Amino acid sequence: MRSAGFFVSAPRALIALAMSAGMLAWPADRSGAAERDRGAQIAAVCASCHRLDGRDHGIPSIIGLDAATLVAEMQAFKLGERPGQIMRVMSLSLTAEDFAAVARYLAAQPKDTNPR
Amino acid sequence: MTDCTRRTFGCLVGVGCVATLGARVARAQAKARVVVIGGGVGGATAAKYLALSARELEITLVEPRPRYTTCFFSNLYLAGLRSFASLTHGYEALAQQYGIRIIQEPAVAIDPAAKTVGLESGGSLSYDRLIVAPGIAFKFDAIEGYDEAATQTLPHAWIAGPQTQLLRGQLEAMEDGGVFVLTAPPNPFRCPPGPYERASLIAAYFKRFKPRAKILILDAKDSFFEQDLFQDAWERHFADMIEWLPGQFTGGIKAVDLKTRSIKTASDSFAAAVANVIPPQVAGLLAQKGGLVDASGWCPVDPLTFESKQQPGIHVIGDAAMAGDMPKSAFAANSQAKMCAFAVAALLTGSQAQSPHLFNTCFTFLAPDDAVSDAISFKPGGGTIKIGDISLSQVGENEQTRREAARAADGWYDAFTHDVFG
Repeated sequence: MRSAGFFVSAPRALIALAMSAGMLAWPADRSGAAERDRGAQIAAVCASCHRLDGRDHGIPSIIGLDAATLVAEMQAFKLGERPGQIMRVMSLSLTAEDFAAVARYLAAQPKDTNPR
Repeated sequence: MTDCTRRTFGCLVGVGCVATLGARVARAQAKARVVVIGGGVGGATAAKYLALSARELEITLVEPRPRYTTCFFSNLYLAGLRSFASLTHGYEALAQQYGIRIIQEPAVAIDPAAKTVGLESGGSLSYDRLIVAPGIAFKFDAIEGYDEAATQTLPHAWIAGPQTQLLRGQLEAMEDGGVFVLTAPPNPFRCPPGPYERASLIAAYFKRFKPRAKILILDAKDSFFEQDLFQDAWERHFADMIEWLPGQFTGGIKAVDLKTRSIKTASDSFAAAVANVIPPQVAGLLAQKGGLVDASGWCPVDPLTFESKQQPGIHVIGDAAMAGDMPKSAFAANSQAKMCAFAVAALLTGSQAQSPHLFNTCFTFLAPDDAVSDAISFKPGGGTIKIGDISLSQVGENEQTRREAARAADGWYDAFTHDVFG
């Protein structure tokens, strides 16, 4: 049982409230929670190069895109149809199920719109 | 996050949640405790990802320095291409946004039987799981005359901070026509391309401001990582400014003379205007004191959880760990820290650690506008960690590719340090 709260960017008050309540409503759908965990753990790999708050300081943002687009992009890197040494190596290590899980996870992440 | 928040709100107004909340409060009083020693890239990443993956853990990060200076990208500072401030990062976000308790003092002892960490002030911290990320230490007995005090004359600048500033000051003060000597250590050491990138970027600085200066690399090895790329770039950008002497020529770096600022090899003595001695390395001191190292001087670990093979219940990540084919790099430390955090969270909370994904990516500058990017994936297997897929840059890539890599490197630094400290 765990939070799906990776890469927190909700307003601080909401986070505090959620944390004070333990944050962890037992998921109605356990397989859904497992998939979010899988997506979150793969997204953690992405976060070593891509900011997951939606900001782009030279490496493109990968949140807020729809899941199908993300899967298609990763597939293109994997097949060598799109150039990119780093993304090719990353995508080669992921399965189709990994693509789906991380794409759904990233597509659900909100952009932080506060200027920083 | 949106889903979770909505669900939590739903729970707060629902009658059926009261009992659940009560049970949770009771459990919260007996939170599992994870202590992380070392606030470098490995330790900070592990603390953050533990906090993100399991709110029911009590996480303490022990780090004596108030701010961390990254060794990666410090070669750009040495060349005058980046500010020192841009390399330094604090722990405020880890404390305030992720609820991590920061203890700003040195950890001086580990008691694996009592599961406690001793602090310099005399206090101690109890843990259920301990993650140790002590980085590197130098083998000061390996080069005669090169001890802790000698680093003030001949800086190593291989643990970033005042040493890096000292070396930059010496380079700025050096007269045009001087010889800068850099000694490169034997394997394994932190950041395999680092010494050679340093020579490249300092050459770029000299080319602009001290064009008659020379750089001499005295190597303990006979070859080095991406040697073909570096030597091609040195020829293209710096003509004969950089000379590299392999171990088979030098016979190894044997001694230093502080008065004459000389480096003595088995066969010769080289006087320097400025010398940067990067000594042979071992795991950080606390790993040695905690019984985590083997005869090699590094820490053997389980390839899936990074749990020490010497001390159960203690995990070692980053440069101090002996992680199979993975290099000692900030990226590797960050990657290991995440896998370790997921594994520790799973052990303590019953959550599920997914299949491990271990990577190293490296942006290396051959000149300010000529950079390469490499990527390697790794797979645990056969009790160690092996290379999976690999993509290395090649000699002869076009200029635009290299310029784009240099620009991407800046973006990577921003995203990566945000991932670790933000």
